[in-house]
Amino acid sequence: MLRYVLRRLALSLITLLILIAVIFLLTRVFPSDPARQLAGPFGSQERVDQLNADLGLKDPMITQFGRLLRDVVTLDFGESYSQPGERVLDLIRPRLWNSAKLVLFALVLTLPISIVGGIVAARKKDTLLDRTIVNIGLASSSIPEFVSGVLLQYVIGVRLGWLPAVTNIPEGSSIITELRYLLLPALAIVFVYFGYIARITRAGTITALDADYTRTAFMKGLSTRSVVRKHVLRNSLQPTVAVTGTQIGYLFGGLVGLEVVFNYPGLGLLILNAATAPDFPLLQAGVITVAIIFMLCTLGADILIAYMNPRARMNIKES
Amino acid sequence: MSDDSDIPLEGDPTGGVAASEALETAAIPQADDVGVDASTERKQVRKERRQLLLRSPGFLFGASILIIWVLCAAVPSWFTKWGDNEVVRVDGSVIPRVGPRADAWFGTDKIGNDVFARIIYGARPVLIVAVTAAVLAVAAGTLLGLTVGYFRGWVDEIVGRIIEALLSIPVILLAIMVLTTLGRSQTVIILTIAVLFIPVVTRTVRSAVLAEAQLDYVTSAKLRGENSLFVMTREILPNVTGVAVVELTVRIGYAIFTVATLSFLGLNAGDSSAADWGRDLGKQYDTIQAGQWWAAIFPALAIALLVIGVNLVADSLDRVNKS
Repeated sequence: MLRYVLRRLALSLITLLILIAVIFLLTRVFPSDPARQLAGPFGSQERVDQLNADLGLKDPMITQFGRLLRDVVTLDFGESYSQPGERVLDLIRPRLWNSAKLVLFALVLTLPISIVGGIVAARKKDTLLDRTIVNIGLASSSIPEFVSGVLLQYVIGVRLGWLPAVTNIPEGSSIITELRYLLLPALAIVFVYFGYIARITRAGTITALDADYTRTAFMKGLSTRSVVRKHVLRNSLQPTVAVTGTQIGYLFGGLVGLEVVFNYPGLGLLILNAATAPDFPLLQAGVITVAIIFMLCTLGADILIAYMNPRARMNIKES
Repeated sequence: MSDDSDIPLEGDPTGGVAASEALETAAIPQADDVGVDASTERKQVRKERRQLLLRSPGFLFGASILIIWVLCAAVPSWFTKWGDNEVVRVDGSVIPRVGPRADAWFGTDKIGNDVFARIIYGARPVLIVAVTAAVLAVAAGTLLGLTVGYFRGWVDEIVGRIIEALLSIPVILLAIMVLTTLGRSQTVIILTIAVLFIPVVTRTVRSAVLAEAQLDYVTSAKLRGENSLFVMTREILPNVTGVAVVELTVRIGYAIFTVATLSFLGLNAGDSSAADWGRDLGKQYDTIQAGQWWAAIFPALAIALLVIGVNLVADSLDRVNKS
């Protein structure tokens, strides 16, 4: 098992390295003149040259790439361009925490209902209940999260007035108040992910219910309850775990639209603002943070799967 | 990553259809014998599939939604007397921010444009960008997936790692990065979305190719001494076309999703006053707070309806493909 984890970690690191190269390419190699943007259109040429020298923007690309790698390793991305005097890391930390709160809350709401929904649909396969769950899931997960965000914001926040329509959480509010503010954006995420996770769970459960080992377990005379618990779930939930792992990673940075709708200061909004500023250190650090979280989540999911299924531990060589 | 657990997964942040299906596409049993029967049999299968599709309520519903939007995109003037940018005047006076009523079904927005007209005209930009991008991505991804899946080896290994890396960042973040560096003409937006979708298409097609490449007909073609190009394009490609077609519809759905998000965030091309669902939603959603819901909610519903239509079609195609 330890060997599996180490191998898996090494693969993640290679992936991360490639990704950092891609991010570097996108932010630095494509024609753009950050020093000119920083100095402003009317800034003097001396100021631009000074900035270029200070920030090392005219150094060879490979030196700059090396510097970025060093920044990642030391977790120190220097100062922000758009907010001079602020350390990039200090700007990211609160945003990361905000995103984490929203994502965790949304997951706590989504996972139980979608897993139960998926298992119920699989056990009642091809009945009206199954079709209803699958189709509601298909429709709701088709809608972009900021669209369902706007719809929920209007219906529940404005029309009915049950919940705050924007997430301008007052300083020092209790956890309950905070959750109340987060409930609408979290529901928008539930909307998208219920269908997705329920469908994955359903597919996994159907496969597991049809498998030979399940038939054997039934023929041994075990009760349905114990077959499902001991034999089916362990296998059927593997795809769900894998998908949840990848999706948590996406939720940390991919909710740009939703964060705009609810004016919620998460990582997505930070990256959007850094890109439009443009604030390259902040942008690079933000995207790399999202990538690292993604790696950790998929790594966690894969380890959990390996724990659930010894075969997965063996298969790594083939992949 | 996810390959390690032998489960090909959908990479996008908010995926409805693809992943659950991807789980099952790993091995698609295909009726395919080398011989005289092959082509007639294939025709027969195709005919049965078509009939199955036409009997599926999901497909019919999804397809009718799509037909209506395509008509709106093609000939918007059939549906509304107003232009997308024309300020509605009643008895010569401008009427901004009025709610839905008989002479403006969906009300008017802040500027006084007819919201209904903007919905009708807004179908064109999103469809053009999304469909073109998805077609390009699926064409390139199929080619790439076919090649790396057939030859395997170190190229496959490297491409696999790069795909893995690209899939670990939400498409929308990469799109934001590209569009803010390269500017945002319609061409750049189409190419960006196309390029960002290539990895996931490649992965899907690759795993389908891997499953096919193990089957007897491929082995026998190789034994016949056919060259790689022939085996890839004439033997394997026809058998992964179904997967590619499903992938195309799924990608169109995600492309719409991405285009709408980008224009909602203000990262879109063209005349800033032209009708565009995402941008209209972005510009008008602050009026929701004031209780003037129509200017934002109708574009939101339009986006939702279009993506639901596409996904219903994608889902039915996939189901039929596997039956």
